[in-house]
Amino acid sequence: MQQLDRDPGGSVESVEGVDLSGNRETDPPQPFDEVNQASFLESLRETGSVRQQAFKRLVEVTHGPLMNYIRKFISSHDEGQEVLQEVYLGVHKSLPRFEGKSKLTTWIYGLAHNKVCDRLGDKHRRMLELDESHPAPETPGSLDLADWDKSTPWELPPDKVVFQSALRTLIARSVALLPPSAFEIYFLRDIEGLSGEDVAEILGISPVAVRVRLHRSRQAIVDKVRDLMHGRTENGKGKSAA
Amino acid sequence: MKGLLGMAFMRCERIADFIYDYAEGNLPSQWLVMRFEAHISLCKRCREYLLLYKAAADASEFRSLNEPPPELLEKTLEFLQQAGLTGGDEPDFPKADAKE
Repeated sequence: MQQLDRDPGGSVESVEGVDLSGNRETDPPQPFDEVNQASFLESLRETGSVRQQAFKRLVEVTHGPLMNYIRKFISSHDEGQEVLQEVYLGVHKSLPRFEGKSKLTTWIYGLAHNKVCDRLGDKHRRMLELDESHPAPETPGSLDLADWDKSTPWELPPDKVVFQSALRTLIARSVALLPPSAFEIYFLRDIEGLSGEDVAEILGISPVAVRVRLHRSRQAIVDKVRDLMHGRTENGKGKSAA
Repeated sequence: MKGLLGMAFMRCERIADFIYDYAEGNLPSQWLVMRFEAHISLCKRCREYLLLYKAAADASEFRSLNEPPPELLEKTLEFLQQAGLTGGDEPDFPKADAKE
């Protein structure tokens, strides 16, 4: 895995999203990618309480997704919290050099990625090597929704809401079972909604590699969902007892 | 005739090749989209595959599924406050052109 060595510069992006001076009671934290980059940077270049409030606001908005990202690699909550704190120290230290060439979200995830790499060292690299050794899925394979366990809520009359809800549950369980590097790509691209180019920048890989790995991650989720639907065990072998 | 044969002979293996670009809306030609969709409409197995694949790719709602415990924010802010970054005697940021 390549570490990032970026020194962003350039123009800030369009203005939309969060009022950084807002009251939390009436203006709850917005999703990570809606942080108003221009206002945020402007607020951080103010002095005193405006700057402190802006930084606090950033922490409020970003700590959840960042912690979810970190915890996939670092199983200990306390250690994950330490890494999170290191990320914010890094953000604070490096912000004066951040001029907005990349999105703020991308930049912060890049810092988080580096902090995780620093913390895990060779272990992180080994995780990736193990993942890369997994063969790419070749064919869709078989899937028959009629095989679903009739004793479960699947047997309810066709109802898109029920079906979607059940499917989301299966997908959530499958996502939790992804190996770390497969999760990393999926998390950044499909959950956080970053662009392929942004993810490539964060991970220091090519957009083509992002595409290939993301496809493998999604495919792994599909395969796991099928296993769950068919009552197969987590290693995909055999049917569980009815 | 060639077009109809092309549609008829898109195999399941090709669906796996194209599904990423289809889900991203990036298939390079309308003709390929048409062949892909023609296969999907005729093949239940691939239709289900596409349904699951698209559901997996549409994951933005999972952002809110794993909310961190409230004490994480408290502890993080407390740490940053002690470091002087979110309250108290906050040190000035270094100037943008300052060398480290």
